[in-house]
Amino acid sequence: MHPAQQNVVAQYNQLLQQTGGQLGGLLQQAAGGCQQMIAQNPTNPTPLGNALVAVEQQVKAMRKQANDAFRPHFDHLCTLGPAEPGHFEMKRALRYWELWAEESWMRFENHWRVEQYRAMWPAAQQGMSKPLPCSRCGGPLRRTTPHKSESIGCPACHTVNQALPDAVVATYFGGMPHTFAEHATMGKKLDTAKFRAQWEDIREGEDAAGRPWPEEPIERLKQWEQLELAYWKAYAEERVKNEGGTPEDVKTLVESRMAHFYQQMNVNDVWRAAHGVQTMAAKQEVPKHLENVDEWGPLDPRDPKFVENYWVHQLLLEWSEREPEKHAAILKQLGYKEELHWQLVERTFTRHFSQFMSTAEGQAVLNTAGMRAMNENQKLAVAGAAAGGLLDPVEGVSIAVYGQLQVKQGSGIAPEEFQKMLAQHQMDQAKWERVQKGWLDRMSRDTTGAIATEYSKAFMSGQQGQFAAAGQASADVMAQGQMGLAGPAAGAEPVSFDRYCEISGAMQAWTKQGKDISAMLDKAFKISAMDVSTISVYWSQKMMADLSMFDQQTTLMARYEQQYLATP
Amino acid sequence: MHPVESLAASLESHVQYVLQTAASSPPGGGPAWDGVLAHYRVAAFGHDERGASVRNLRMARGALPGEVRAVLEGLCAWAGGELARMRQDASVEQPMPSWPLEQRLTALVAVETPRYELAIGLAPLPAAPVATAGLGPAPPVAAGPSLGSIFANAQQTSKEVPWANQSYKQVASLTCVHCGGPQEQPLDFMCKYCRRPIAGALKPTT
Repeated sequence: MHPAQQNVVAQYNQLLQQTGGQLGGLLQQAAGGCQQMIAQNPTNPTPLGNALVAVEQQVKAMRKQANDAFRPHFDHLCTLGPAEPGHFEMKRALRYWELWAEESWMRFENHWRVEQYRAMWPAAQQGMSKPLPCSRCGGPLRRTTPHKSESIGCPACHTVNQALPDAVVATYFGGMPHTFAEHATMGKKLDTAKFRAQWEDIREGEDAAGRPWPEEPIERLKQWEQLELAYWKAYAEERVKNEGGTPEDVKTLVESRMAHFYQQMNVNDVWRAAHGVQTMAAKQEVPKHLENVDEWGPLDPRDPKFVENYWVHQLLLEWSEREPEKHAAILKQLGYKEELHWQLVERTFTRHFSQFMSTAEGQAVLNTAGMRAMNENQKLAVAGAAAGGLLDPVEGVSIAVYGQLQVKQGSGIAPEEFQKMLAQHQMDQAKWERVQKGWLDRMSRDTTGAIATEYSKAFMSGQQGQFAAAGQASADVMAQGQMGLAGPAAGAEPVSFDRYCEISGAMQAWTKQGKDISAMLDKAFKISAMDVSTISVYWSQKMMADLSMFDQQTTLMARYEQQYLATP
Repeated sequence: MHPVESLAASLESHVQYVLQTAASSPPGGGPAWDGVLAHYRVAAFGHDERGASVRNLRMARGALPGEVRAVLEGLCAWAGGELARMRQDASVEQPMPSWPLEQRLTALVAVETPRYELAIGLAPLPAAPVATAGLGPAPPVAAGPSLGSIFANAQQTSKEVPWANQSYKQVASLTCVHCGGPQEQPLDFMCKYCRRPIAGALKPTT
């Protein structure tokens, strides 16, 4: 490396050192604030949570600064001669700096959240042992699971009492299981990140030496799998132990978290080859004698919507690559005999339409196809989930009823009123909580988003009050598979577009200022967080149907964010 | 102390020893400096080159910057090797807090050599004009809200949530809307007394 280039690398390293120093200083200073916040609010984690979110924004700004500085340094390096090995050194320095910054933040945040729950424990313990009188005769009730809701028959008058956990107990068990599990397993989580960074070193080292980028060997991929498994298994065991669950809960949680890894491996040729599956490259091969043969498959090139239809197929097949079974099912459903059949159609299309696709008209067709494919994909996901039993009722309660009751619960209704509502649906509070957990568990396992889609429909159509029409209009768009193709009815507009951008910009500002979003929404706009979700879904659907609105949204939100940031 | 931290501390003491010995040597080096070179297995420059360098650089004292640089490079290679060995060593606690040391190793030669030159009174090399243009120390991060105001806001606004002063009854029972009788069997929502839905209606669950 030329001395002047060494100078550039050294300057970049110095910048990382300094930014690291700034980050360390910020966290050191913030630690005092966190300690004080816990002392002032031992049983309420919300103030600390809001402060941590704001501090995280500043940490992110520092990390962005380190990343943004890479490009100008690299450009200077290039003007002084061949960029390697300086480029490699700078990339490596940034990678390890990022790892360090990530670890510093994760440890800081988790440490203070753990401290918060530790401070809360005496009150939680007290809350669990508090005597509970029967609501009818005042006789003493005996609780068996004081951290969960339970129905208890009064030994004196036989009345069934629905007992909720004490407020502090509910708060404690709402957050402690994850926080403590994260604390116990953080080292394992970071091991995986470091293992990945080491591979980046090897790969980029080869590249810097002018050799081709190597494929990650199967031994390393298996090591990676073991690291991921070790982390998720440890996390799940710890978490389930903390919240009181079964080995089956551990198994389900691990499977759901590992799904992402295996989906990645499903498109990794080294992994595929090692598991006796045809590689992606081999899958795309076409026999020589068919290379230039036109084949349109189930598509009709005379159809005016032919190009759009082709892209819908293309996108649906591309998005399902990570799930081979789903990919094969979609292939059949779309009318292709096998993968080769589709490959022939793809080549034929490229031969005839690649020029058209580079025109503005071609791009517009592609955009419409993208939206159609998204709707189709959702429909396929829902159908697949239904066929696989993922949408079967939980303890007899469907996703639709669950979604609608969630709206009611979120509207601020008193618990005893909500319990009357539950009784109409033949549930007590304890069953409702099991149903809730059941649906949440399934949602976290579902990698297709099908349950979330069905839940959103129920949630939006269950909206009441001033934004009920907007909620219903959005639910209709989802149900009709028109997302991105037609916006929800204009007459149902919950607030103007400008107001929506103002709310979004204000929320960004409040997040940076450590202000409580729910409190500020109520104070500034007289709306709740649930109202914001209805408004956001409505305007997101509008924007997807008119992509030009995204630019407007960015500009307006930035302006409003500044305006609200100006208010301390 | 983690072995990585011990290694970092050891590296720093080596660096200090090298730089101090180099700086206190007569122009071009002396027996003490030759001892350092021998210790770190770095070949000394030839007698003629040493002489020419002293003259051309107008050195009044200290070992040759080129030799100092070579020793520092050797130190980096040694520490880098140790770090790599620790990564493979099962007895060393993982993950290692290695980032600060790695950064130090990446920048050590580039930072310490000019610093040494300054210490022995050599004018620093002119910075490459293109390389330094526009690149300065880390700029301060765009001023966000102060930490003080963040904690004050978090404390204040959490008291202003709409449900701040609401409390709920921890225990409640269902009473039949028709006859006023209590629920006496969990999950039985038909009134035991009047045999009608206790909450007034039965709605579908699917």
